[in-house]
Amino acid sequence: MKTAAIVVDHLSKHFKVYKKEPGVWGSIKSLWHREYETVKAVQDISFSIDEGEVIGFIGQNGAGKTTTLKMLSGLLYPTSGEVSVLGYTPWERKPDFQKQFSLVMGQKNQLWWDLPAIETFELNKAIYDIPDNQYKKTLGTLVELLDVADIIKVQVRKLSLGQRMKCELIAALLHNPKLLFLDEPTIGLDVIMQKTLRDFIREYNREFGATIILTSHYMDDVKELCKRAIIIEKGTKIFDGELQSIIAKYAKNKILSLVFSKPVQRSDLEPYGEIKELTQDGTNYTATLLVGRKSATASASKVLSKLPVQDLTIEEPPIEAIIRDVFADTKRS
Amino acid sequence: MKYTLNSYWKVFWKFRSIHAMRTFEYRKNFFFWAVVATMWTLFNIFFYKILYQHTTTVGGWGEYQLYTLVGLYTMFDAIIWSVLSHSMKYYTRDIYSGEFSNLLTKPINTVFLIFTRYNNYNNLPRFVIGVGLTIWSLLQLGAAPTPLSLMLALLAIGLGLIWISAVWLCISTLAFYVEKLDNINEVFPALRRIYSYPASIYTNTLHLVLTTVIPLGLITTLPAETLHGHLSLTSFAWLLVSTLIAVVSAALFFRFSIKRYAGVAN
Ligand SMILES: Nc1ncnc2c1ncn2[C@@H]1O[C@H](COP(=O)(O)OP(=O)(O)OP(=O)(O)O)[C@@H](O)[C@H]1O
Ligand SMILES: [Mg+2]
Repeated sequence: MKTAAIVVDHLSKHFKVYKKEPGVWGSIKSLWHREYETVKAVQDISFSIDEGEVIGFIGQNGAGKTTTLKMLSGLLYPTSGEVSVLGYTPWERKPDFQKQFSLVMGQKNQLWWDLPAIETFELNKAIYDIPDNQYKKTLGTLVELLDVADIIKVQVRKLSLGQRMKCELIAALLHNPKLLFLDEPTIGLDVIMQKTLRDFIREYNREFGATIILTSHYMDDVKELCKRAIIIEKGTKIFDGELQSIIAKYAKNKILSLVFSKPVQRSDLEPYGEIKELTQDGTNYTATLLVGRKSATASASKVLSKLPVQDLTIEEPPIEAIIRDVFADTKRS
Repeated sequence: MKYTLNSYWKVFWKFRSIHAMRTFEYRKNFFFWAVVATMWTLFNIFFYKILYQHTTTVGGWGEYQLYTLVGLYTMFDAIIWSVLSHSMKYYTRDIYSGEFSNLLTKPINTVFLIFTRYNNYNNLPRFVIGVGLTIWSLLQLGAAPTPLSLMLALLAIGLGLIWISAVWLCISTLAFYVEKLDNINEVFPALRRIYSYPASIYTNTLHLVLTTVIPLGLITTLPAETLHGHLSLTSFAWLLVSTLIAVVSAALFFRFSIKRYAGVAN
């Protein structure tokens, strides 16, 4: 039976920030009068995550993803709500709890800048009280998976962003955490390096059965690694479920791609759906239509019977586009 | 899985070796500051030398008696500049920058990490001069401390250091409340003046305050007097009590304050 690694119950976090009017005069005025405003970074979120699951946290900038991860790792005290992570209350910061998780933030680093990464690894060995043989074994595995045998002996300030990120990951994983919070681990990396890290994260999950929460603005990260996703918008959870069912829930349209044997007019197509693209350059006659989900097959057969169709495909829209639509909708409402 | 003293010990020395490596990495910087610190110390001793060309006692202390105190002061100062001011600087900086999160997620006491993770070795020569000056002054005085008074002197030094650390931690912890508090770590160094002289130069209420509740006057005077063979048990008691109070207040204040830690948004 699966047990829950994380249970989050009506969690909220509000920040008090003050607003400064622009300019020096605004600064002077703020000396005696400050207008405070409450930012509801996280607002009444609940979910639970099983051991061994890999979850994607999706949301726009400022949605509250990092704030949630910070509460789960015990850095922030919540404004209200209950959290249980591996059976512990995170912000009590018990060493036995802290030895079982790791928080990796793409923009933050824990490596000693002017020394080779291996020195930070040895420091963490002492801090996490890792036995010699376990340390050697884990380090060996991680170094091999990430192919960094030489890199870890070079001063960190001389490494590229991608090389450094690999070392950051090793530093965070040496104690074999059961639980991993990855906050935009692939930010700023090139496509190949992103892929390397993704493969590595998948491998780590498989090898150690680790529970992983991942946030990323690259949908590829989430699509490749996570079966389940949680979408957060303005501090509240708006979706929680299988990534695939986002399509079922939110996609209003399907995409109809058409290739014609002869030129067709825009007006010929208009009755069937929203025209996304139409190419009539003398040799290629193609069009892309957005058609209602339910009426997709009906529209397709009408187009087939009325127009000189050579080829036709019906596709689901990409998840990126659906999520973009979801966010656009919530903004409007 | 209980943490043993052993692993704290290992972490402590790992940090020392990290900073030794960094010192070698930037050895020119090290030599420069080591020379500056040494010059400064010699200048300070020279100043007392001149003082005694015009008088025979300061607050009842003869020249060589005072050198014991100056030696101790130099040792304290070496530790303050190489360890405490460094640790506290990075502590307040990290609260402001959000790097403090790194410490909070580690399975080791946060205050321990705050005090042990940084140091430099620039003041090492200074520390040696301090030890040397203390021993030399005792030899000049013909004072041979008994093992007991030696132990008590070390205890007094230890208590003084703990008191200073606790009070400094309280001051720096204000960084959780004020968005940016530049120079907050210069508050304590400004107070060092007080114990660069024997406590006996202060009179009346000031003397009372500086040797009891705020035992700044005892920091160097107590171990120096102990080494000279004048044991003051009341002073010891006061230093012990104030240190306990300082440590408990610092611990409570720190625990209360980290709840306010918001880090930075990113
Ligand atoms: N320390 C803080 N003080 C004040 N406001 C904060 C703080 N941290 C976060 N916030 C605010 O809380 C909200 C959520 O921020 P958070 O960093 O959790 O977003 P996010 O989903 O991680 O965004 P991004 O994708 O840009 O990283 C934002 O409006 C942010 O300005
Ligand atoms: Mg974030």
